[in-house]
Amino acid sequence: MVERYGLKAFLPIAKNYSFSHYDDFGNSRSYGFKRVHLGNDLMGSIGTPIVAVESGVIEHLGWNQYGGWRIGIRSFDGKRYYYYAHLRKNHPYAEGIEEGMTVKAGDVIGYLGMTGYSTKENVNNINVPHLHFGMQLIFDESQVDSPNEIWIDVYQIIEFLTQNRSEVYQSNTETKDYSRKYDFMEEGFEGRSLDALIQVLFLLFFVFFLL
Amino acid sequence: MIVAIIIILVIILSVVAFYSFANDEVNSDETSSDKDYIKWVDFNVTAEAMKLTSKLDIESHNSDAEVEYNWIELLAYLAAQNGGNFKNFKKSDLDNLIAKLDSGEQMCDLTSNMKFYDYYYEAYTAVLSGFIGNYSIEVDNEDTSRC
Repeated sequence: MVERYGLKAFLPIAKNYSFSHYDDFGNSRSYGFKRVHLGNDLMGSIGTPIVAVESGVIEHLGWNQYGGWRIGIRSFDGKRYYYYAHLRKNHPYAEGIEEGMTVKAGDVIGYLGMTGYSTKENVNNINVPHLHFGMQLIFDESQVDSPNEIWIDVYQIIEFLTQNRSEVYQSNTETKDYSRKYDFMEEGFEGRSLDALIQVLFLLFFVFFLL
Repeated sequence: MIVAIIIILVIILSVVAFYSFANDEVNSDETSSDKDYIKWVDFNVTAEAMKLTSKLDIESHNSDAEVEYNWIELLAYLAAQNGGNFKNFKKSDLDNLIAKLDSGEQMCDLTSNMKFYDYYYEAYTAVLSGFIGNYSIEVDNEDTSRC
């Protein structure tokens, strides 16, 4: 491992996988109810490995009638909520990915697909395979799930991040899962691990005390 | 004797943990009752502006440069000038700011009369603060031999 100071956020599409996009933030959408598009659609091939843009904690994972199989990751400082949607039917998530776990920037978290627009789980109702990528800003917890949510246009951010892509390889030939090629570590992630360890120690002390 | 020490240790740690969680609850109450937070952000910074400012930030931190630039401060300064609209962003605007910083002027002085600088700084910090910083990454052997 070498220590560096630089760009540590990654494009959500893994290195060596092609994609296309245009600025579609604010375009109209009609499934469910009339609304506007609050992200950027990255068109690509089904199965393209999707990586975490930034390190964080998986807050939501599972089926959503709009996003299909989706993952929501909150940054360690709590200010950003990254939303990755329409993941692959049958095998949406990378091996070992669970709600509540911590992921590092550049980790493979899932695979591009076309699920969603259905109340029934695991249905491909999206016409064109793509990753819906979105970023919500949270300045106060009351903004998390409310009419006052702040979603920003990430088109220019995607353009900016094309310079930093995570290389992946097929790490499990049976499940055909992918993993990042080059391991990564950052300060916040180490601190997070230490916090978790301290919490576990406290819990053990409580259990011991109760016994 | 050992059991007694362990029990005392457990009690002390329990009290510390209790007050730690209690403080967290107090802080969260304060946060939710304090309504002075940003309600809306239009993020219109172009990739070009992010590339130029991030390069200045990274290169100044990785060299012995006298002035270390903060790309979020640079972007917030430019936004305070252009109203957050980077469509007409010119590199010369950034060059002028860099010239001022290189001549010894401080960002806090340069922005003291900018009404919306603090807003843009806080908004852009929320968007970009996880993008640049220290990290460790595995590299191929041939990469390490170059160093």
